[in-house]
Amino acid sequence: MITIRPTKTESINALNFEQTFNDHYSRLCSYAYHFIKEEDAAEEIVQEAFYKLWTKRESIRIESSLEAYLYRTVRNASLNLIKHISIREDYKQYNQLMIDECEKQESDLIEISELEQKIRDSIDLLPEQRRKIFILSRYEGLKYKEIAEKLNLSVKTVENQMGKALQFLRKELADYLPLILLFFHEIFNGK
Amino acid sequence: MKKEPIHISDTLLSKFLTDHVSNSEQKQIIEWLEISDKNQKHLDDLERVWLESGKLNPHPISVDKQKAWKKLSKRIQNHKQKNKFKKYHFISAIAASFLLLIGVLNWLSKPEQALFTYQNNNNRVEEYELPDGSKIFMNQLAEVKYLSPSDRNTRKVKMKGEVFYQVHRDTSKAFIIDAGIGTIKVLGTSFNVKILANKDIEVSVNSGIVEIYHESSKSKKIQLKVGESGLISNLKKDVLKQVIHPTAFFWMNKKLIFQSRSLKEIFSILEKCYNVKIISKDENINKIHYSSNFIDNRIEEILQIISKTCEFEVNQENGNYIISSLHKPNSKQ
Repeated sequence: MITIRPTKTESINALNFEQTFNDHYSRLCSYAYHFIKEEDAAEEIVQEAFYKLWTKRESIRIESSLEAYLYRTVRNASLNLIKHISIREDYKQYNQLMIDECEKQESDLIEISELEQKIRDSIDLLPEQRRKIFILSRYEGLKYKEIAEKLNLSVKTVENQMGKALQFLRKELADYLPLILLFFHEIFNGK
Repeated sequence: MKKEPIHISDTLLSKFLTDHVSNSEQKQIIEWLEISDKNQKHLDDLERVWLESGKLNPHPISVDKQKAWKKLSKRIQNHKQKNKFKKYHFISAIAASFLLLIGVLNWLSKPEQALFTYQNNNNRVEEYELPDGSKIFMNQLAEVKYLSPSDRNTRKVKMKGEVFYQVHRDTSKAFIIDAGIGTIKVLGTSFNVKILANKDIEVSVNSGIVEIYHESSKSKKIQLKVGESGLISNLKKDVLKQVIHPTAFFWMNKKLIFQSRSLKEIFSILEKCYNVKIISKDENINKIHYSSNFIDNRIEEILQIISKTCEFEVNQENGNYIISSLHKPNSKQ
């Protein structure tokens, strides 16, 4: 009996698996969230994608790269989930548009700058409450008062936690700040 | 008149960046910025962090990466156990069915399936946390299988080699260790279990109470308390109490327990544990009995401490420790 193994452009081993998880887990969660707007479900989808990637690593055929494969899997699973939630007629069209748009985006997504990776890693390192507050303020655009109400905290706590969050990020990104400065100059000098 | 130096916190600067400051606070910050370039740079840095983080697309959500990795590893571990049979199908149909048969027989004789398997193939002590919160410290070549419990009132493991347990206290769920010819049952304590080459099981208790029994006489159980040791004997098919071995925990935390041991014995134990040579020719010293515990001490410290109580002298010569009576050097002079 002969078993023919599919040719793989990238094989998956314990080492690059954990590395890929570390580098991409949070970002993949963000990506799933971007579609489904539900944090727990987003994490579940990504968890499942990694689980399948490992358990089926012998038979999975990865055409381009591990990253590309993961982003595609997470996107498809996210869209599938939405399909289950909303079965509107115009949805199909929207879905196809989404897929087309995403395929373009995905090639950009896989390329992460060192700075972006560092910022994402630093945010992951914040203690849970501080991380939540920072994300609500920075990315959901909520006012301190709204955050306080949402998380059942005092406005003072939110203020303090935001201060500490920025302080921490500034320290973590200290090495990168001069690089950003260069970038700013280019803009101001009308590059 | 000089102005008081103003201190502006990162909290206030963050309020400024997120547009939460009052007019007076804003004025304060502007004043502060005018004081020095350093202040200006500080705000610049924070602002850059704020702006750069805002560019992330898709934007981050709050996740606990470590927790997620733990969850994933557990699932993968589980999957591995479940899938062991599957692989054989690929070899050949006959081999597969043969193995399957063995598997079924195996499964029938052992109704409890291992949920997790922990192994230590390294030459250092490995520490793991079991699903119930208990901790295990595994000596070289030890193996622990956490079994799926057959009833709600027990936690079960199966082990090989030598393992130190710190059992998470749960009075409603007994923790039961299947160590081959005998069983160890506890609620929440710490103790060491060592399976010897002849299948004897040596159990040494560090805290709490431990119950042990031989498989062939389950009704004859003995209880061991702190500082006690028990042996489940393969030959005698019985359980017996014994003096705790001084080095029962040494591999784990460098703990030595001397319960009324002669110095002769103690020196020989120390020689083995610390890989040194101790020369003690005075029989009067060697006969002295001594009791004490040591945790993670250097050999010099241990010898110093014993020498004070037992009144002898320690000298180092060519890397060896020479034990002699206190008065000898004086009498020579």
